[in-house]
Amino acid sequence: MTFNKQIEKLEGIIEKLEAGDLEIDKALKLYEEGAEIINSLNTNIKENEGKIKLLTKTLNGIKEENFNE
Amino acid sequence: MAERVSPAIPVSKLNSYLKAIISAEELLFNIQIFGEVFDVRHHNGNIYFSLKDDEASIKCTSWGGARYGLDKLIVEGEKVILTGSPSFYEKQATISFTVSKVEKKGELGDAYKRFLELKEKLEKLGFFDKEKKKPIPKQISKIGVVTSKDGAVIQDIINIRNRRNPLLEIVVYNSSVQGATAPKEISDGVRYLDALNLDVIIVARGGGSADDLSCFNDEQLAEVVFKATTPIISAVGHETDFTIIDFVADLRAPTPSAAAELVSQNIREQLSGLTKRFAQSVQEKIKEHERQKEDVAYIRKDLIRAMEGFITDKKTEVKLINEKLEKFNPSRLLKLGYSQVLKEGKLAKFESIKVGDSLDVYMSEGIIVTEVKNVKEKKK
Repeated sequence: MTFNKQIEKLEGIIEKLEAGDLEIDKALKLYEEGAEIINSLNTNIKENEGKIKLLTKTLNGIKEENFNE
Repeated sequence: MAERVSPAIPVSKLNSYLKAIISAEELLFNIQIFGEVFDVRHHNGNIYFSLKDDEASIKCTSWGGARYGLDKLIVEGEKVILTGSPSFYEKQATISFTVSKVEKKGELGDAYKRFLELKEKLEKLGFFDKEKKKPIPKQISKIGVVTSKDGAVIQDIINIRNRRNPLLEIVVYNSSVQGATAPKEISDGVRYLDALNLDVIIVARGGGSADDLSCFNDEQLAEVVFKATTPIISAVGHETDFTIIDFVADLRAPTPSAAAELVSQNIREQLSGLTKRFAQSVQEKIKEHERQKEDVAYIRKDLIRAMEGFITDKKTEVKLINEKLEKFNPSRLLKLGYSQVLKEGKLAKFESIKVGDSLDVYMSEGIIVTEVKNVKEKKK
């Protein structure tokens, strides 16, 4: 699931929890689900850093390398 | 006006604070101003003068200006464009514009005229039409940047991306961003990145003089940007700088940093906000549950109290009924001395009793078996 899809799902869970007319066992289930999504999002941010590529034009065409920050 | 109670500070502290503010203001760094020169004084090779327009004036200093021949341009009554930055002098809280470059106004006027002509031409061709601008997508995961790989700009963009959305992929096309070859290199970069199916392309450069930024006033570059299928954001110079590419691009960002913020959704902030909201909603739920449990306990107590009352009432009622019943208990009557007469096992009815019938008389102590000798009806 993409980051934004997970965010949407989490928002849905929070809205349900905030609505108030929820039985405790259902709320607990939503809590577990929400906590799992938050964990997975945090791991996603930590582990899936996007690549930064550097393109430079040379006589042999475009050279592609990793950008050194 | 709200009164502020703060301890008095010495003048020197105020002045050094003002100096810090002015020197830190990026918008004042390396800018161009124009006006008319007056009040020129020379001292030790430095040129001190003022620049004015119809409404205001500012003191200016050209350190060692005479050595670089600037004294030929800084002449009383001359209309000039100065490049430099204002400096604040703490001693007397004065501001002076420190000059790094002087041009006659007419010279840049020509460049400005060319800029206006090109702008008019492209506007007529529909390059600036709002309805032709491509929308910047809401969700961006991969961007291209055309800029110099060595400049501060790309570092700023990467820093902002790291802070807000480390998942964002960036493809940097290295290009010079000033000088004669820059327009072609930037155009090549836009064209190349446009073929990579990116969400958005940023064309960026930091601040500089009008001359430095003039490579973004190029007709071919404007055409490439106009024809690109990927949405393009221009981020050239400071907020106050405008170049042709700003008008053609799908969006103009006031600065490269602003462009980086526009394309990097702040997922860290979003996630921490949602995590907080989630924790609060869960806590609220638990509190609500506790409250409900308390409510149930109250209700239970009430019920028990009600039940106890009911039972007591019923007990009293039963007692009363028992007492009533006791009154009519036949054995009680027998004890009082009354007897019961039965004929063939049933309570005897007077009309049915005949002479010779056998009757059982029940008394409290026992039964007497009798034979009827006579039957006398009571006189009415």
